[in-house]
Amino acid sequence: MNATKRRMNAVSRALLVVAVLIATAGAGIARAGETLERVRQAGELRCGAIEYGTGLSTVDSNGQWTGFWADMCRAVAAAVVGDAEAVHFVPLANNTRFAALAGKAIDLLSESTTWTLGREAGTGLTFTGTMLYDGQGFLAHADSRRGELKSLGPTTVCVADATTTMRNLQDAIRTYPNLTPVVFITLSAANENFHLRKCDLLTSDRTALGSARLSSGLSPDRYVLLPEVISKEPLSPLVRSDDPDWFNVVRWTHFAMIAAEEKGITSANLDSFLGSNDPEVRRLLGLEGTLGESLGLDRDWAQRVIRMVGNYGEVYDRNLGPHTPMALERGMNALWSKGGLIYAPPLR
Amino acid sequence: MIHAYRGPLIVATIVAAALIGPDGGEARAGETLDRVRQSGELRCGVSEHGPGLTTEDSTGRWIGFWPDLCRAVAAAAAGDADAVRFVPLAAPTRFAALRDNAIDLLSDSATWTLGREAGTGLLFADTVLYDGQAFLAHADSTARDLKSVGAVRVCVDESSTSMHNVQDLAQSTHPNLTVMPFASLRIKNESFYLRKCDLLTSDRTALASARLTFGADVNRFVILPDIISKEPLSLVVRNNDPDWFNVVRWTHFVLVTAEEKGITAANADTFQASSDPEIRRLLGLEGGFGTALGLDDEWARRAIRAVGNYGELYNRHLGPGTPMGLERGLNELWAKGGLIYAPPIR
Repeated sequence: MNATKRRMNAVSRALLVVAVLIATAGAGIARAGETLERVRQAGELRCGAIEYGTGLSTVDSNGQWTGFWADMCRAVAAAVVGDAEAVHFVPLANNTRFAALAGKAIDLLSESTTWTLGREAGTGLTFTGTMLYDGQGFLAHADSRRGELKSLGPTTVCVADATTTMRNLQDAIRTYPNLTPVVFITLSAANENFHLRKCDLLTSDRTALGSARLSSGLSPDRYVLLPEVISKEPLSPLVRSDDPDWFNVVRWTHFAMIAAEEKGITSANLDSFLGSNDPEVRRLLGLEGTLGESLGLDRDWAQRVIRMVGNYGEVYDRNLGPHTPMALERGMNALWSKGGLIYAPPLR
Repeated sequence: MIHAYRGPLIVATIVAAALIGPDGGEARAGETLDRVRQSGELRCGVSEHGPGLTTEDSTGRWIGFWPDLCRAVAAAAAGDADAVRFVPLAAPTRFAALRDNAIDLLSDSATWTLGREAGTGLLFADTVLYDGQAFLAHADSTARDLKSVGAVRVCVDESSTSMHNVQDLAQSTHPNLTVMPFASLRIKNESFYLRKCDLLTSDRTALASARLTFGADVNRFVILPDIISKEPLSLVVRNNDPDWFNVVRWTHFVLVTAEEKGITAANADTFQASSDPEIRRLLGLEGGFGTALGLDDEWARRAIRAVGNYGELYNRHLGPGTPMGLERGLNELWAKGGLIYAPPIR
């Protein structure tokens, strides 16, 4: 091998090293801000959604995704793209949702996913913060035998696979050995089979059970929610962990909605706050400071979220609240100053 | 052969480095944990906030709520609660020290705000102490609440969120307040003590602490009932290492979960035979969650043994049985009327 050839060989090896390093970087490490740029350029947010039923997330008769989680997608789209309808809803199943996010098929997962350690440690995913404090419960047929869960005798329970619900039920069986799980791949299959009386109980998050009561086509009074709550289910949006700028956009969109409720700013009365001299209101609405810009957005980001989607309380009440068929009191999801757990760090 | 390609390889490496990260800020996920483990110590940024919160005792040991959180993370990550190098910082430089990689963790009564994490390269792990800004007055003055005070001078730390809040107040609803900023906590507190200002303003926890440093009867000072802000105090990390972010936020959540389950520093080793699956996962008896975090199965048990559960930590430094005398309030568990909540270890 002559000197020139040997040097060429060396250079090509070195270039291979470069290629490998770049490829590795490209695959594993996203540039901060990448997701925000993608969403802006595409002009739409790809939001992962799962059919949970009325109030939470479902497709209405016009083919529109509606519900609490669909509204969170719209809030982020309003902040980022400037249009609450600039959302491409990507329907997913429980067993594909995390892979879809990790594989960059969606920008945001906004459905009733429980925030747990196992789902964010070493997975490349990060939960942005609890949006809905829930807990796992049981729905029974109103005309079936009643009483405490323990005293019901041998009882079958419809449950969806690949959920924290399934794992909690397995845990709960140590306390309630009379329960036997009947496992379905999807939540809607579990619901249907419960309605068809293939099992005595249906278990899921209490919000999802409230929704299941409405989905049978029969009177909701045919079903009762049992008092037992067997778990904590803090439900949170989820993003990839390699793009902290995007993580901030999602978590502060959520916090802006809470801050708006604290200040009494709604989609209907927002304009009356544009002359406010409360510095916290002024910063939230982008009337002073540069908080929007530091998020990579513009001054009006939070104004759009509130105007197009509403504050946290409006979104809750519209989809889940006492005046909807779901009829769920705020409870733990009331503001911290009103006895609940909903709290946002200051926009300052 | 080796000599023949070393030159181009160096060039290639430089080119690659330039292409991957122009600012040199791209950390590998897990880098901080590796550094802490290899060096055998956690570099934890702290500053003097007074007794209960953060202070040095007569032997030079950092004690208080915030230093103990450093110890909990060190116990989880480095295997030893004392594997902490406390790095004393001044308030104006603390965020820069973290950004510049001079520390691994900032545990310093820092208020979590949007402006401090958007575009800054930093991330707040989660609120560990819900606080709010209040005012300390001399008990022999006429001040009983903010409404009743006339034209008054207010001493405040110039690089704190307290400064912004009191300025907001002075510029809007309370023009009777004259803001007097200080760079040093000690001089600020002394100035109040020497009556160079009528009120001292800071987080409520910091005022309770300041009251103890004056060497006088604490009853000579009164905390006014007005709370003018939300101050969610949080641990802070860099935002380019999500694995480390997880280690820190879940160490905090472990302490909360331990309180929910009645596991304390003293009894943590007596649950080996527990059949409660949540306890078994928390204590690493099943589930393997420590490994998923890049740690080992004993991580949570070490943290609990080192500093106790969240309630023990609070009560030891800030609680009603201490000179600080602060009720749990918002910092009570969610099931008991407070805001302290942890996602499940599952």
